[in-house]
Amino acid sequence: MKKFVLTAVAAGSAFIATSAPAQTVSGDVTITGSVAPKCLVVTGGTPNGTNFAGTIPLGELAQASGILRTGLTADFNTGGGLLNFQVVCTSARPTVTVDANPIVAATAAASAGYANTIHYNAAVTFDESPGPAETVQNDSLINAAATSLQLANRLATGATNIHIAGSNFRTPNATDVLVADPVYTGHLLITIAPTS
Amino acid sequence: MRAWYSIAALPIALLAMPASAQERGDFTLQGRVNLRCVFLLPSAAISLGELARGGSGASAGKLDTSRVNGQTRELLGFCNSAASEMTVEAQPLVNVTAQNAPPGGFDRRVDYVATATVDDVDATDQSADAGAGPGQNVGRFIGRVAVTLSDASTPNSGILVAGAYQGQVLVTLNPLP
Repeated sequence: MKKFVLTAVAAGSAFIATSAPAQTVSGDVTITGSVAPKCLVVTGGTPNGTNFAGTIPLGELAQASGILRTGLTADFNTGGGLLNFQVVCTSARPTVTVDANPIVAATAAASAGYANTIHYNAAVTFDESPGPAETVQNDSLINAAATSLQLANRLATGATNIHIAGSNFRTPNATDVLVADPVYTGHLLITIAPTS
Repeated sequence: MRAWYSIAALPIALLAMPASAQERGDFTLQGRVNLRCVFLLPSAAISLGELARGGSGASAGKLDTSRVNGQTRELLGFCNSAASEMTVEAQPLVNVTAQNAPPGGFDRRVDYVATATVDDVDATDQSADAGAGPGQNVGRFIGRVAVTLSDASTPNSGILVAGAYQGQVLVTLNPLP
Protein backbone atom coordinates (compact mmCIF):
# COMPACT_ATOMS: atom_id res chain seq x y z
CA MET A 1 0.00 0.00 0.00
CA LYS A 2 2.70 2.40 0.88
CA LYS A 3 4.51 1.53 -2.23
CA PHE A 4 1.39 2.33 -4.27
CA VAL A 5 1.04 5.80 -2.70
CA LEU A 6 4.55 6.68 -3.52
CA THR A 7 4.07 5.61 -7.11
CA ALA A 8 0.90 7.73 -7.51
CA VAL A 9 2.57 10.90 -6.25
CA ALA A 10 5.43 10.37 -8.60
CA ALA A 11 3.03 10.14 -11.51
CA GLY A 12 1.32 13.38 -10.45
CA SER A 13 4.63 15.14 -10.46
CA ALA A 14 5.15 13.97 -14.01
CA PHE A 15 1.83 15.58 -15.12
CA ILE A 16 2.80 18.95 -13.71
CA ALA A 17 6.07 18.87 -15.56
CA THR A 18 4.38 18.58 -18.98
CA SER A 19 2.56 21.97 -18.99
CA ALA A 20 2.99 23.98 -22.20
CA PRO A 21 2.81 27.72 -22.94
CA ALA A 22 -0.34 29.37 -24.28
CA GLN A 23 -0.90 28.72 -27.94
CA THR A 24 -1.53 31.37 -30.61
CA VAL A 25 -3.15 30.23 -33.84
CA SER A 26 -3.86 31.86 -37.19
CA GLY A 27 -6.62 31.48 -39.73
CA ASP A 28 -6.17 32.41 -43.35
CA VAL A 29 -8.75 33.68 -45.85
CA THR A 30 -7.28 33.86 -49.33
CA ILE A 31 -8.87 36.38 -51.69
CA THR A 32 -8.48 36.17 -55.43
CA GLY A 33 -9.86 38.20 -58.30
CA SER A 34 -9.00 39.12 -61.84
CA VAL A 35 -9.18 41.89 -64.36
CA ALA A 36 -9.59 40.80 -67.94
CA PRO A 37 -7.85 42.58 -70.81
CA LYS A 38 -10.45 44.93 -72.25
CA CYS A 39 -10.98 48.33 -73.79
CA LEU A 40 -13.91 50.51 -72.79
CA VAL A 41 -15.36 53.78 -73.95
CA VAL A 42 -15.26 56.60 -71.42
CA THR A 43 -16.28 59.70 -73.36
CA GLY A 44 -17.03 60.71 -76.90
CA GLY A 45 -20.01 60.34 -79.15
CA THR A 46 -22.53 58.09 -77.58
CA PRO A 47 -20.64 55.79 -75.28
CA ASN A 48 -22.23 52.40 -75.48
CA GLY A 49 -20.08 49.73 -74.00
CA THR A 50 -17.53 48.90 -76.64
CA ASN A 51 -18.61 51.42 -79.30
CA PHE A 52 -18.12 55.11 -79.77
CA ALA A 53 -19.34 57.23 -82.63
CA GLY A 54 -19.41 60.76 -83.88
CA THR A 55 -20.53 62.74 -86.89
CA ILE A 56 -18.54 65.37 -88.73
CA PRO A 57 -20.84 67.55 -90.83
CA LEU A 58 -19.10 69.07 -93.85
CA GLY A 59 -22.11 70.77 -95.38
CA GLU A 60 -22.10 71.66 -99.05
CA LEU A 61 -19.23 69.88 -100.72
CA ALA A 62 -19.16 71.54 -104.13
CA GLN A 63 -18.18 75.03 -105.07
CA ALA A 64 -20.02 77.13 -107.58
CA SER A 65 -18.26 75.47 -110.51
CA GLY A 66 -19.40 72.05 -109.33
CA ILE A 67 -15.99 70.75 -108.36
CA LEU A 68 -15.00 69.94 -104.79
CA ARG A 69 -14.80 73.06 -102.69
CA THR A 70 -11.74 74.04 -100.75
CA GLY A 71 -11.60 74.37 -97.01
CA LEU A 72 -12.78 70.86 -96.22
CA THR A 73 -9.69 70.11 -94.17
CA ALA A 74 -10.28 73.11 -91.95
CA ASP A 75 -13.97 72.32 -91.66
CA PHE A 76 -13.24 68.73 -90.79
CA ASN A 77 -10.75 69.61 -88.09
CA THR A 78 -12.36 72.65 -86.55
CA GLY A 79 -15.93 72.63 -87.72
CA GLY A 80 -17.46 71.45 -84.50
CA GLY A 81 -17.52 67.78 -85.27
CA LEU A 82 -16.72 65.25 -82.65
CA LEU A 83 -13.00 64.60 -83.03
CA ASN A 84 -11.87 63.58 -79.58
CA PHE A 85 -12.71 60.45 -77.66
CA GLN A 86 -11.57 58.67 -74.55
CA VAL A 87 -11.10 54.94 -74.45
CA VAL A 88 -9.41 53.07 -71.62
CA CYS A 89 -7.77 49.69 -71.87
CA THR A 90 -6.86 47.52 -68.91
CA SER A 91 -4.08 45.79 -70.80
CA ALA A 92 -0.76 47.23 -71.90
CA ARG A 93 0.01 48.17 -75.49
CA PRO A 94 -3.34 47.80 -77.22
CA THR A 95 -3.45 47.36 -80.96
CA VAL A 96 -5.18 50.14 -82.87
CA THR A 97 -6.52 50.04 -86.39
CA VAL A 98 -7.57 52.92 -88.63
CA ASP A 99 -9.51 52.47 -91.84
CA ALA A 100 -10.62 55.53 -93.83
CA ASN A 101 -13.44 54.87 -96.24
CA PRO A 102 -14.27 57.47 -98.90
CA ILE A 103 -17.15 59.87 -98.74
CA VAL A 104 -19.58 58.54 -101.32
CA ALA A 105 -22.96 59.51 -102.69
CA ALA A 106 -25.61 56.95 -103.47
CA THR A 107 -26.07 58.60 -106.82
CA ALA A 108 -23.72 57.10 -109.39
CA ALA A 109 -21.22 59.22 -111.23
CA ALA A 110 -23.03 59.75 -114.51
CA SER A 111 -20.09 59.75 -116.85
CA ALA A 112 -16.54 60.90 -117.33
CA GLY A 113 -15.84 64.21 -115.69
CA TYR A 114 -18.19 63.56 -112.82
CA ALA A 115 -17.52 62.07 -109.43
CA ASN A 116 -19.55 60.77 -106.51
CA THR A 117 -16.54 59.98 -104.36
CA ILE A 118 -14.31 62.12 -102.18
CA HIS A 119 -11.14 60.68 -100.82
CA TYR A 120 -9.19 61.91 -97.82
CA ASN A 121 -6.40 61.04 -95.48
CA ALA A 122 -7.22 60.27 -91.86
CA ALA A 123 -4.71 60.75 -89.08
CA VAL A 124 -5.67 59.37 -85.69
CA THR A 125 -3.46 60.24 -82.76
CA PHE A 126 -3.41 58.10 -79.63
CA ASP A 127 -2.17 59.65 -76.38
CA GLU A 128 -0.14 57.21 -74.35
CA SER A 129 1.10 56.80 -70.81
CA PRO A 130 3.93 57.39 -70.80
CA GLY A 131 4.18 59.43 -73.96
CA PRO A 132 4.83 60.34 -76.63
CA ALA A 133 1.62 59.95 -78.58
CA GLU A 134 1.56 57.91 -81.76
CA THR A 135 -0.36 58.73 -84.94
CA VAL A 136 -1.79 56.18 -87.35
CA GLN A 137 -2.59 57.36 -90.87
CA ASN A 138 -4.80 55.78 -93.46
CA ASP A 139 -5.79 57.19 -96.84
CA SER A 140 -9.12 56.17 -98.30
CA LEU A 141 -7.67 55.90 -101.79
CA ILE A 142 -4.13 54.77 -101.21
CA ASN A 143 -4.74 52.29 -98.42
CA ALA A 144 -7.31 49.74 -99.44
CA ALA A 145 -6.83 47.95 -96.15
CA ALA A 146 -6.78 49.27 -92.64
CA THR A 147 -3.56 50.36 -90.98
CA SER A 148 -2.74 48.68 -87.67
CA LEU A 149 -0.26 49.50 -84.97
CA GLN A 150 0.48 48.09 -81.56
CA LEU A 151 1.01 51.10 -79.35
CA ALA A 152 4.29 51.42 -77.53
CA ASN A 153 2.60 52.03 -74.19
CA ARG A 154 -0.77 52.10 -72.48
CA LEU A 155 -3.46 54.48 -73.59
CA ALA A 156 -3.38 57.57 -71.40
CA THR A 157 -6.15 58.04 -68.87
CA GLY A 158 -7.95 60.99 -67.40
CA ALA A 159 -8.80 62.90 -70.61
CA THR A 160 -9.64 62.33 -74.23
CA ASN A 161 -6.89 60.19 -75.69
CA ILE A 162 -7.95 59.62 -79.30
CA HIS A 163 -7.84 62.58 -81.67
CA ILE A 164 -8.99 62.53 -85.27
CA ALA A 165 -7.77 64.74 -88.09
CA GLY A 166 -8.52 64.73 -91.80
CA SER A 167 -6.64 66.16 -94.75
CA ASN A 168 -6.14 65.99 -98.52
CA PHE A 169 -9.81 65.87 -99.44
CA ARG A 170 -10.05 65.26 -103.18
CA THR A 171 -12.04 63.76 -105.98
CA PRO A 172 -10.45 61.13 -108.27
CA ASN A 173 -9.69 63.96 -110.69
CA ALA A 174 -9.30 67.50 -109.55
CA THR A 175 -11.62 68.71 -112.31
CA ASP A 176 -14.42 66.25 -111.52
CA VAL A 177 -17.84 67.74 -111.00
CA LEU A 178 -19.64 66.28 -108.02
CA VAL A 179 -22.98 64.73 -108.75
CA ALA A 180 -25.86 66.13 -106.80
CA ASP A 181 -26.99 64.07 -103.86
CA PRO A 182 -28.46 65.09 -100.53
CA VAL A 183 -26.25 62.70 -98.62
CA TYR A 184 -22.59 61.98 -99.10
CA THR A 185 -21.41 59.60 -96.40
CA GLY A 186 -18.00 58.37 -95.40
CA HIS A 187 -16.80 56.29 -92.52
CA LEU A 188 -13.62 56.43 -90.56
CA LEU A 189 -13.36 53.21 -88.60
CA ILE A 190 -11.14 53.08 -85.53
CA THR A 191 -10.61 49.90 -83.56
CA ILE A 192 -8.78 49.57 -80.27
CA ALA A 193 -8.16 46.01 -79.18
CA PRO A 194 -6.67 44.93 -75.84
CA THR A 195 -3.56 42.84 -75.86
CA SER A 196 -4.23 39.55 -74.18
CA MET B 1 27.56 -2.01 6.76
CA ARG B 2 26.13 -0.85 10.15
CA ALA B 3 24.79 2.27 8.51
CA TRP B 4 22.86 0.23 5.99
CA TYR B 5 21.00 -1.54 8.76
CA SER B 6 19.96 1.76 10.27
CA ILE B 7 18.32 3.01 7.11
CA ALA B 8 16.47 -0.19 6.42
CA ALA B 9 15.08 -0.25 9.91
CA LEU B 10 12.62 2.61 9.33
CA PRO B 11 10.29 0.99 6.81
CA ILE B 12 10.37 -2.23 8.73
CA ALA B 13 9.27 -0.39 11.82
CA LEU B 14 6.31 1.20 9.95
CA LEU B 15 5.08 -2.13 8.75
CA ALA B 16 5.25 -3.39 12.24
CA MET B 17 2.56 -0.94 13.46
CA PRO B 18 -0.57 -2.56 14.99
CA ALA B 19 -3.10 -3.82 12.45
CA SER B 20 -5.97 -2.00 14.15
CA ALA B 21 -4.58 1.47 13.32
CA GLN B 22 -6.31 3.00 10.22
CA GLU B 23 -4.18 3.79 7.28
CA ARG B 24 -5.10 6.42 4.77
CA GLY B 25 -3.48 6.90 1.49
CA ASP B 26 -3.78 10.27 -0.19
CA PHE B 27 -3.94 9.88 -3.94
CA THR B 28 -3.66 13.37 -5.37
CA LEU B 29 -4.40 13.72 -9.07
CA GLN B 30 -3.06 16.80 -10.65
CA GLY B 31 -3.47 18.11 -14.17
CA ARG B 32 -4.17 21.30 -16.04
CA VAL B 33 -5.69 22.64 -19.19
CA ASN B 34 -3.41 24.98 -20.96
CA LEU B 35 -4.58 28.33 -22.32
CA ARG B 36 -5.21 27.79 -25.95
CA CYS B 37 -7.02 28.83 -29.05
CA VAL B 38 -7.53 26.45 -31.93
CA PHE B 39 -8.82 26.85 -35.45
CA LEU B 40 -10.88 23.83 -36.36
CA LEU B 41 -11.34 25.23 -39.86
CA PRO B 42 -8.25 27.40 -40.40
CA SER B 43 -8.63 28.48 -44.02
CA ALA B 44 -11.12 29.63 -46.61
CA ALA B 45 -11.04 31.17 -50.06
CA ILE B 46 -12.96 34.02 -51.64
CA SER B 47 -12.99 34.20 -55.41
CA LEU B 48 -14.11 37.66 -56.46
CA GLY B 49 -14.10 37.15 -60.21
CA GLU B 50 -13.80 40.14 -62.52
CA LEU B 51 -12.87 43.19 -60.48
CA ALA B 52 -13.20 45.93 -63.11
CA ARG B 53 -16.38 47.57 -64.27
CA GLY B 54 -17.44 47.03 -67.84
CA GLY B 55 -19.79 49.22 -69.80
CA SER B 56 -18.82 52.76 -70.63
CA GLY B 57 -18.46 56.16 -69.05
CA ALA B 58 -16.27 57.50 -66.30
CA SER B 59 -16.31 54.32 -64.25
CA ALA B 60 -15.41 51.97 -67.09
CA GLY B 61 -12.40 49.83 -66.27
CA LYS B 62 -12.31 50.93 -62.65
CA LEU B 63 -12.91 48.85 -59.54
CA ASP B 64 -16.35 47.35 -59.19
CA THR B 65 -16.65 47.66 -55.42
CA SER B 66 -19.68 45.39 -55.34
CA ARG B 67 -17.36 42.54 -56.20
CA VAL B 68 -15.55 42.98 -52.89
CA ASN B 69 -17.86 44.64 -50.40
CA GLY B 70 -20.01 42.23 -48.44
CA GLN B 71 -18.03 39.15 -49.30
CA THR B 72 -17.87 36.89 -46.25
CA ARG B 73 -16.49 33.53 -45.26
CA GLU B 74 -16.40 31.61 -42.00
CA LEU B 75 -13.60 29.95 -40.12
CA LEU B 76 -14.27 27.74 -37.09
CA GLY B 77 -12.36 27.79 -33.85
CA PHE B 78 -12.37 28.14 -30.11
CA CYS B 79 -10.52 29.75 -27.25
CA ASN B 80 -10.70 28.41 -23.73
CA SER B 81 -9.42 31.48 -21.94
CA ALA B 82 -11.66 34.21 -20.58
CA ALA B 83 -9.22 36.71 -22.04
CA SER B 84 -8.53 35.77 -25.63
CA GLU B 85 -7.40 38.34 -28.14
CA MET B 86 -8.35 38.30 -31.81
CA THR B 87 -6.49 40.38 -34.38
CA VAL B 88 -6.97 40.74 -38.12
CA GLU B 89 -4.42 41.62 -40.75
CA ALA B 90 -5.85 42.53 -44.15
CA GLN B 91 -3.34 42.33 -46.96
CA PRO B 92 -4.29 44.15 -50.17
CA LEU B 93 -5.33 42.51 -53.39
CA VAL B 94 -2.34 42.99 -55.66
CA ASN B 95 -1.90 42.21 -59.32
CA VAL B 96 0.49 39.27 -59.31
CA THR B 97 0.87 39.00 -63.07
CA ALA B 98 1.65 42.66 -63.87
CA GLN B 99 4.13 43.60 -61.21
CA ASN B 100 5.60 46.80 -62.62
CA ALA B 101 4.39 50.08 -61.20
CA PRO B 102 1.49 51.24 -63.38
CA PRO B 103 1.54 54.59 -65.19
CA GLY B 104 -0.62 57.49 -64.08
CA GLY B 105 -4.32 56.79 -64.09
CA PHE B 106 -3.92 53.08 -63.49
CA ASP B 107 -3.97 50.93 -60.37
CA ARG B 108 -2.77 47.42 -59.68
CA ARG B 109 -3.86 47.25 -56.05
CA VAL B 110 -7.21 46.99 -54.29
CA ASP B 111 -7.53 47.94 -50.64
CA TYR B 112 -10.36 47.01 -48.32
CA VAL B 113 -11.35 46.62 -44.70
CA ALA B 114 -11.49 43.10 -43.26
CA THR B 115 -13.63 42.46 -40.21
CA ALA B 116 -13.50 39.26 -38.19
CA THR B 117 -16.48 38.68 -35.93
CA VAL B 118 -16.84 36.32 -33.01
CA ASP B 119 -20.26 36.56 -31.41
CA ASP B 120 -20.69 40.35 -31.16
CA VAL B 121 -17.04 41.27 -31.07
CA ASP B 122 -15.43 42.72 -34.20
CA ALA B 123 -11.75 43.04 -34.98
CA THR B 124 -10.93 45.04 -38.09
CA ASP B 125 -8.02 46.04 -40.22
CA GLN B 126 -7.56 48.30 -43.24
CA SER B 127 -5.30 46.75 -45.85
CA ALA B 128 -3.86 50.15 -46.71
CA ASP B 129 -2.27 50.18 -43.25
CA ALA B 130 0.68 47.88 -42.67
CA GLY B 131 0.38 45.20 -40.03
CA ALA B 132 -2.56 43.94 -38.08
CA GLY B 133 -5.35 46.02 -36.61
CA PRO B 134 -6.00 46.42 -32.89
CA GLY B 135 -6.72 43.28 -30.91
CA GLN B 136 -10.14 42.65 -29.43
CA ASN B 137 -11.04 40.41 -26.52
CA VAL B 138 -13.31 37.64 -27.73
CA GLY B 139 -13.18 35.77 -24.43
CA ARG B 140 -14.10 32.13 -24.25
CA PHE B 141 -15.94 30.93 -27.33
CA ILE B 142 -16.41 28.10 -29.71
CA GLY B 143 -17.83 28.42 -33.17
CA ARG B 144 -17.73 30.74 -36.12
CA VAL B 145 -15.16 33.37 -36.92
CA ALA B 146 -16.87 35.31 -39.69
CA VAL B 147 -14.59 37.32 -41.99
CA THR B 148 -16.25 40.09 -44.01
CA LEU B 149 -14.79 42.50 -46.59
CA SER B 150 -15.92 46.11 -47.01
CA ASP B 151 -14.89 49.62 -48.11
CA ALA B 152 -13.01 48.48 -51.22
CA SER B 153 -11.03 51.10 -53.05
CA THR B 154 -8.00 51.67 -55.25
CA PRO B 155 -5.19 54.11 -54.44
CA ASN B 156 -5.81 56.40 -57.43
CA SER B 157 -9.37 55.54 -58.40
CA GLY B 158 -7.73 54.50 -61.63
CA ILE B 159 -8.17 51.90 -64.31
CA LEU B 160 -7.30 48.45 -63.03
CA VAL B 161 -4.40 46.83 -64.80
CA ALA B 162 -5.38 43.50 -66.35
CA GLY B 163 -4.16 40.40 -64.59
CA ALA B 164 -4.67 38.08 -61.63
CA TYR B 165 -5.13 39.67 -58.23
CA GLN B 166 -4.46 38.04 -54.89
CA GLY B 167 -4.81 39.12 -51.27
CA GLN B 168 -5.10 37.61 -47.84
CA VAL B 169 -6.81 38.08 -44.50
CA LEU B 170 -4.99 36.65 -41.51
CA VAL B 171 -6.95 36.13 -38.31
CA THR B 172 -4.97 35.47 -35.15
CA LEU B 173 -6.34 34.13 -31.90
CA ASN B 174 -4.15 34.54 -28.87
CA PRO B 175 -5.14 33.26 -25.42
CA LEU B 176 -4.08 35.64 -22.68
CA PRO B 177 -3.33 34.67 -19.10
